[in-house]
Amino acid sequence: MILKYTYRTLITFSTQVSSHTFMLRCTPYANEYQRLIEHKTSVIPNCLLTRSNDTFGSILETGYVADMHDAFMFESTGIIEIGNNRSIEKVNPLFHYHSELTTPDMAIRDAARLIGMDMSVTEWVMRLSDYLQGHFQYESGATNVKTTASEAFSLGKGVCQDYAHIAIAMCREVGIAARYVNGFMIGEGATHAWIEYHDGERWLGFDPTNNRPVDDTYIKIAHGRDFNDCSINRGRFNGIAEQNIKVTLMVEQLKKLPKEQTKQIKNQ
Amino acid sequence: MTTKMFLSAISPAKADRLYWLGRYSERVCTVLHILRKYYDAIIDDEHTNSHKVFCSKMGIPCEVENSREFVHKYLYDETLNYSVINMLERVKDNAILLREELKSESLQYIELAINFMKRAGEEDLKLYDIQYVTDVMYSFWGAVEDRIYNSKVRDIITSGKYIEKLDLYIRFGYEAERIEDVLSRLERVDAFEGDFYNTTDFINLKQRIAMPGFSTEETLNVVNSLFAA
Amino acid sequence: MYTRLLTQKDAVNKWMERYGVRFGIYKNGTFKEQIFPFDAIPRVISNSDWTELEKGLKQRVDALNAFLRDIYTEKRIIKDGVVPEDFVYSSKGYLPQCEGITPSKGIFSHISGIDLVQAEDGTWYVLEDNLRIPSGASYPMIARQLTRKASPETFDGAKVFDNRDYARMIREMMDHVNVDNGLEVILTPGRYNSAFFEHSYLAEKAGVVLAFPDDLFVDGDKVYYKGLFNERERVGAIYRRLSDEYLDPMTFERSSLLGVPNLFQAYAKGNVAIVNALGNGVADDKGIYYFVPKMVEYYLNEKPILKNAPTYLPFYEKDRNYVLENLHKLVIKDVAEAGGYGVMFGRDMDEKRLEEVKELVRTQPRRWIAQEVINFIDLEIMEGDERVMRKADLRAFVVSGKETKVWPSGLTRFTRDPKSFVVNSSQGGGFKDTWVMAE
Repeated sequence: MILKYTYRTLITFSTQVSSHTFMLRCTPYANEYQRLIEHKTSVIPNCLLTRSNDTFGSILETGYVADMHDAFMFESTGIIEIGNNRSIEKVNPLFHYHSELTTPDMAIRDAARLIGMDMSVTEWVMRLSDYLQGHFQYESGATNVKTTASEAFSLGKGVCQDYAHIAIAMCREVGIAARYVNGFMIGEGATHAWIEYHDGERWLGFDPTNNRPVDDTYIKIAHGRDFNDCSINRGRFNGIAEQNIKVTLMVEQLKKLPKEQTKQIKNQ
Repeated sequence: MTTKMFLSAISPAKADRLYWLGRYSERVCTVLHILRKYYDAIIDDEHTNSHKVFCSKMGIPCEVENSREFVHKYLYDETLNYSVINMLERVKDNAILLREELKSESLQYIELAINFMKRAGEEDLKLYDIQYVTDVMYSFWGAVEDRIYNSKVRDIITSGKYIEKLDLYIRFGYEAERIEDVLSRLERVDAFEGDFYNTTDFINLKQRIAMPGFSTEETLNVVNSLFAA
Repeated sequence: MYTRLLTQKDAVNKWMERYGVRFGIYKNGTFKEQIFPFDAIPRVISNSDWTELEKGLKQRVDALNAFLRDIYTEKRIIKDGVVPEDFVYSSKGYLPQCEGITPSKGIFSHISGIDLVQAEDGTWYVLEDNLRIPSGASYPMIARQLTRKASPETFDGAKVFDNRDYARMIREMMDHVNVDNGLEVILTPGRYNSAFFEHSYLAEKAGVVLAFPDDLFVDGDKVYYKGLFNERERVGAIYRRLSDEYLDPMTFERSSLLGVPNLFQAYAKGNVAIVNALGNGVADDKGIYYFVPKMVEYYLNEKPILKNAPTYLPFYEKDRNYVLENLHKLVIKDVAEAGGYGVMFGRDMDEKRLEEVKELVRTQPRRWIAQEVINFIDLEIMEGDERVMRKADLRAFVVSGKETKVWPSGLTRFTRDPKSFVVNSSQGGGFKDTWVMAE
């Protein structure tokens, strides 16, 4: 599927700030099933953006605004072709180990064991997701970015980030390698989170919030051990200011590639 | 070893510490000097009002009627933020963060002054018995002059010193010549360049002081806003 | 040899006070500066003992550096089954962000603090490796300076290695790893750090800039020192006295107010040297300690010169059984703790406590290591005018730059409590100068 997206965050500060350092993870992950046809990141105030990959391969853009400013905007736009083939990959053993936000407590351990073992990995993940649908409720505002899997699970409600953390904790508990994914989804107005689990051969995506496998309507931005490895924006500035954050996201399907892009691709 | 360090930039936070180190160190010396003059009057008459005059010139509250009691509190009371012991603590707060510039040899004088003042407070030593503090503070100034090889660093401390002197001389109504002398010393400090101070303010200050009967309060405001960092 | 010095001990302590030789400590949430009690009787290490120690320390640190290079790249030592994967990936000190990064000149542990004790039979045992930010070298350095001042006769003809060139060793190492001949700084978290005296003293003696987190910033993946007039000066080497998790709020602990944002990116791109490198915690983990002699064999193909204290890993079934049977005579350490915390002696436990700890060992075997209690020699200290015997250890400092060099001195810490075996300064101990004899 060919998707066109525009993601924008506008932060307004109640007073002027300066020496503003930031780190963005807002460019789609480039791999065998996500091909970036066109992409651009822009930032206001204008500054030097440097690009690199983090240890998990997600694309990072960092910058520094020295001067006073009272607003900060970053925008990521692009056209991306998404396929469904997932190639065979070895697992980084790290994704077998619990991380800060996914360390399970007894309740999560017990729940993971209740699901049973006599089935394929994919089947297990689907059962886990079914279980969550029955035992966990979607409610925004109940949790925050620091909420751990255990805290969310005992609360019984949360958002996509919490669904993902709990699912990852349960997978890792029974020996399935799992990782956190941050990204965009067609029809959603904000970023979404889901998981990837390793079925012994490939990394496959599953969306526990919507209880369905990830397909070519999802754009992956970053993956890591948990949310901490995937933040879309981290910043630090001088000044005491309240921040007002406005996020907009548009993801739509393009029936075919725009003309110029088709030509460019042929030339490559 | 390379000489890299001496050419290096000075961060705004560091410049601020150097400046206030200069101001507080000078404040300790000059205040003790002025206080001795006022104390001289107290020797003859314990009920003199001279300490009240001192307070009003310094712009600090005067809550004690008795002159001797005032001197004790003013020197040693750690709960009064304007006491001499607290001036020394501020000197130390800044100096301790600047060891690599001041060198341990200079820092030791501040340690000595504070340790002495603490003991003096416990033993209620009189003003004339704490000449030692003045002695070691002058040693400190000597060490600053001698042991700091980064001229920019030395210049910022020295600027702080002269600005503090200006402030106190103006408060206590020193003769114009004395004040002008400090001004011209300040002008000769190398770090004294356009960016460092607001040049217009400096010219303004010079003109003010040249006029007889200038307003103390307004002039002090100009003095205290000279340092731009 | 040092009798004259003892008559001058009050003078030495006066000098210490003048020089502000202190360390900070938090008690009930408030910060206090304390004098680090100095004992004038030096620990004397004979030249022959030192020759052996020096070789052993160099070897150990070279192996540890090889381990760190391997762990963050190929991981041969795991593939070859020498170190179990579990001990790496579940170690708090392992930082996946550092995968594939080779620090400037390939050095991870530039300054290593190796804690040793000497047993009654004269054998030296390593108790702990400190490869993150080992502190304490400044104390014997300034103690030597001040004892020489207070009692010059003591050193007249005494064949003791001078230890005051430690700062120069640090400076040479920093010059070696410096990227693009940039500014060299010691990055301190600030005055309210327990070792602030050391940060400022080393900056003075090494002739480098003492930088506070706000003095530095990162732009275009390069680190700069911020000047007064908005000028910037490129930074080439940072001796940071801030732990990994607080070093960069963009990559690590986001709530850290101390770090330099995006410093990690500059480091990952090879644009700045960080001393010590990030991620070293995986090698000085108490669990990994067990494997250090094996590392010497694996990477250097040499026989380890220095011994570990006899250690058991409950992770292995055989060791676990031994620990469960002999807990009453062993010492148990929590691998996640440091600074003398999380250390328990079996002989101090009653039956009930022994059972509780055994249960912990059974349920969380990876969390603990157990060691035989070594009867290490006591050293003389002055208690008033009386000489008494107390437990002491030695922290040796190894500096890895162009070459690996062992500092011919070290921090000797002693416990003032006659019953205590824990010599950490945060637990009320004192220190001695360490004299290494030149012949």
